[in-house]
Amino acid sequence: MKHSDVLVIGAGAVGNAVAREISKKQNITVTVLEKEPDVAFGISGRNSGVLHAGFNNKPGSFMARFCVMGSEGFEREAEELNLPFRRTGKLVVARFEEDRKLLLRLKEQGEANGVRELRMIEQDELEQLAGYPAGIAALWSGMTGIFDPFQYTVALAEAAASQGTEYFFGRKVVSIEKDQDFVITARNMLDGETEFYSTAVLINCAGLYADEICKMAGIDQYTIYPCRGEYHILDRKDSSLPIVPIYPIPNEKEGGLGVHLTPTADGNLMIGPSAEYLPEGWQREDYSTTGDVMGKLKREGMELLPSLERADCIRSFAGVRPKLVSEHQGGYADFVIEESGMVPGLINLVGIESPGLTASIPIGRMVAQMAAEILNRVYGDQVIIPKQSSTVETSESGLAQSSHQADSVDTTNDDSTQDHGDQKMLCRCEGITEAAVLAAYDRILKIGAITTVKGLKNRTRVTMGNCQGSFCTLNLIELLKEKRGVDPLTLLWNGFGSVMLKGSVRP
Amino acid sequence: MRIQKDVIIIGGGPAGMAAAVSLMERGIEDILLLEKEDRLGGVLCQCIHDGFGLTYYRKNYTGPEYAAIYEQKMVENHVPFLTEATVLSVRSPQGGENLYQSLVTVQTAEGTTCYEAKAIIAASGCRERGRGLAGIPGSRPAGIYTAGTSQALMNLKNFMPGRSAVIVGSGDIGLIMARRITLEGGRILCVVEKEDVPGGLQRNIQQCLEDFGIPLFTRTVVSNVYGKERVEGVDVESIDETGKSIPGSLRHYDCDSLILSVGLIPDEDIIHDRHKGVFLCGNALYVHDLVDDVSLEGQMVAGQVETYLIKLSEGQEPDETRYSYHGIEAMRAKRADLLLRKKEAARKKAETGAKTITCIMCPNGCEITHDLNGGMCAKGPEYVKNEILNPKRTLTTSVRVTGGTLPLVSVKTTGGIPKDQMMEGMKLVSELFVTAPVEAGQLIRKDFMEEGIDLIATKSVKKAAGNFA
Repeated sequence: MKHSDVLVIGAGAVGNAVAREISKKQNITVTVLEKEPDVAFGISGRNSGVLHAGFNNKPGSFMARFCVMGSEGFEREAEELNLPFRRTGKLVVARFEEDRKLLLRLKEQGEANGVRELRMIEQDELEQLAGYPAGIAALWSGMTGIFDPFQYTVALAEAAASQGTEYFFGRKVVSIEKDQDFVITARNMLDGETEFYSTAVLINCAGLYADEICKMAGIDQYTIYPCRGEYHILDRKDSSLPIVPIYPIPNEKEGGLGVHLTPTADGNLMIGPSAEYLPEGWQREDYSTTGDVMGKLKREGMELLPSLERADCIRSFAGVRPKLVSEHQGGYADFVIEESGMVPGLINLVGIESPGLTASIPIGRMVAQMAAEILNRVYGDQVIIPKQSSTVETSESGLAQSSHQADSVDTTNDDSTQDHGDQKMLCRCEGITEAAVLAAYDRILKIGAITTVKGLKNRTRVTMGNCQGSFCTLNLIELLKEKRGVDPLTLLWNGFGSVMLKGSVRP
Repeated sequence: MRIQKDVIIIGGGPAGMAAAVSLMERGIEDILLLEKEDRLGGVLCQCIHDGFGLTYYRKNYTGPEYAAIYEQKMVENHVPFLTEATVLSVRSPQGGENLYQSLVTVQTAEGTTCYEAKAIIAASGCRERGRGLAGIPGSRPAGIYTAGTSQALMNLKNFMPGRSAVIVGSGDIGLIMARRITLEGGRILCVVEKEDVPGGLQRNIQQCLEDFGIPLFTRTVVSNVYGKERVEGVDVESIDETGKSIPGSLRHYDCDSLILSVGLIPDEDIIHDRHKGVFLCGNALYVHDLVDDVSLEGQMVAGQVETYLIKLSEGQEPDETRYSYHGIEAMRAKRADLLLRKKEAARKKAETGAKTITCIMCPNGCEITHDLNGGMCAKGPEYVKNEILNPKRTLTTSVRVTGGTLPLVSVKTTGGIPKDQMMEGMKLVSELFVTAPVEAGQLIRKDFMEEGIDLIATKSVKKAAGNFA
């Protein structure tokens, strides 16, 4: 049985941020279990990629507090994580006179939360900032920014791993027992075997399934209401598209921010998300898009920007919010971040929906503190000292031993592994070389994750251009086979079972 | 450092090769053709079916054979070219009047190189419209491919994209793939087309769908995709003239893949700003039905570039011929005519219930009646006679290669084999092996299925280095 001081369930942005903060402290061993093959397959990889300023949330809430903390000084974090980040600002647009008072209310709420750089702007300035006549007035938020949520989540995991956090991917938690320690039973999705992990502190960052993890530990008080949001991604070749996120006035009852236009860190524009609660008992991870919503997104997008009528949609996708309020209740419930009273040593993070991505690092810090206190309690006041720097060598129990696939990969940082000299272009649309894809492949193995096309895509943007992989998929399969010995017939698209190919023409 | 050239040709497919060869023939020799793949031929290499060259060469070539004609011309004319060289951008250089009006950034294995050229021929082909543009709702599992990608997977890499598929769109590549997958033991449940007339050539409807009993539903769309990891099925629905779904028309198909043949888009994204001296040709200009027209256009563009260079050297202001519009009007007229004929044929069939046979001898796809009327030439009635008495088809497929640089070599029968024996023929083909090197035209099996009809290779496959397997 694998034992660690702290075990985190879920390798999303929050789980990784928690692991990163805890593993900064010395003498604490951290394990992360993730049911998917790689990081950022769930909520963290399916959102608008916006660093929120924090004016949409109720003063005094965790949401408001952590969002503002996350937004302030994100430049520093981005630099440390080597993450491209732009503080673009954001516009919440009023289209009618009566909208003004709603904007003012948002502004006041933001100021109560401590959000800086909020101001009301009039038609002329709005047109200038948006690049087109978007409305009659707007709330300008100077602290809002955009970044790539995949790269962010990956970077957090890599930082955690470099500090000694051990990741186990394709491990689905099926039961939790508590005696002295927690004993967690997980199913290995690759071979179907049952595995056991023990830990002193258990941290539930299971996103859409956080309530189910609670139930396994005997806590019945939470119910997640999955609420799907669909998006369209537009071809970036249209240079007339806005470069600032443009939002409508949020509908408070709906519990989303309304269909908005968000430029991505890579220059595409996204329209979305919608907000539809999935029916009770429905598969929570139903990331399907639906004909009705696809039409609605386009209509609502056009209300914000009429020229979208001519824009080319290259992809549609969906994410699911882990809401703690039902459709009937509406609105938002605050994040739950607490050590369970019933099950001491278990820290639950439930309902971490928007602005969870923005809030993830401050949440990680607080949870790390909570975990340290629990450990002091359990181990009897051992002093836990923060490490000197965040780039400490891989610890003894580190990656090279733990990751079954990582044997051949060196443990130095990033793009220094073999074959990285080949600058041949693999994905022309996005300008990605073979070397960049191979480097991403090696980075996947380095954190112990399992190779999927989606994982490569999330790290490099390969297949994300306007050909959507119709040219480069083939070359990608060939490259992985030639340079890394990956059998094309077992190559996965995303989840377990998502084989790309159905055998050979001539075996 | 920038390397200067008179003309840079982007793309080594049929358009680029025809243009480059023609430039050399005109004595314009300071040129360079850039190809992103490791071989010339472009998309023709994966088009192992026949039907190429029918109008220009009056021959029925397969894609690789057609490409080989131009590869040969490239060699004979000593056309300078680079493979595995991806053009990243074409821009007009900053500042100053200069003969070299285009700045071309090229990526190779060694890194980035910049060229300057007086003229650019962009023969970069087209790309496929994908799911986003087609707006197909549903889940997003593995097993959704464009027809062209499926074709490349099967014909170049020996992979099956799926074993049972619904095909969206009745463009020619989709139709060709319906036959290809069926021949290889896969199952095509149906082809759905949202328009009221199929998009592909009539001859392909006949020989790719009707020959195999594959249903084609017009005014029909895929309204949902199922499967979390891999495609498990799709819903299809009929739509009315306004695009609204018709209640009660929904049906479900279990399948493991969805193949999209929903149109092609000229791929000129690398041309970052439209400036003088940039000539588009082939599918980068507009999407052609026939490669024959592409080759012709390549030659024409070379002529235009020649004129342009002469004017430039004489210090004259060149005409605003940044783009070659040659043939667009003619092509539109031709297309409109084909569409009209398709509609007319469909209407006649529906009205009179007249039984006609589609002549597959050329792209015209004449509908010929049993009393041998309706053909545009003498081939039609001849074909129909045979089609009634003893229908035959050329079989195009692939044979396993051992020790080659490619896993498969494309093959064809030298003549028609009985239509109802195609699947038996495939069984025989699937058991064949050939050892590299293989030469195009090489005999693979004498008297294949019947006396006098052989199975021959349609492309060359080199021996793989250091592979003695």
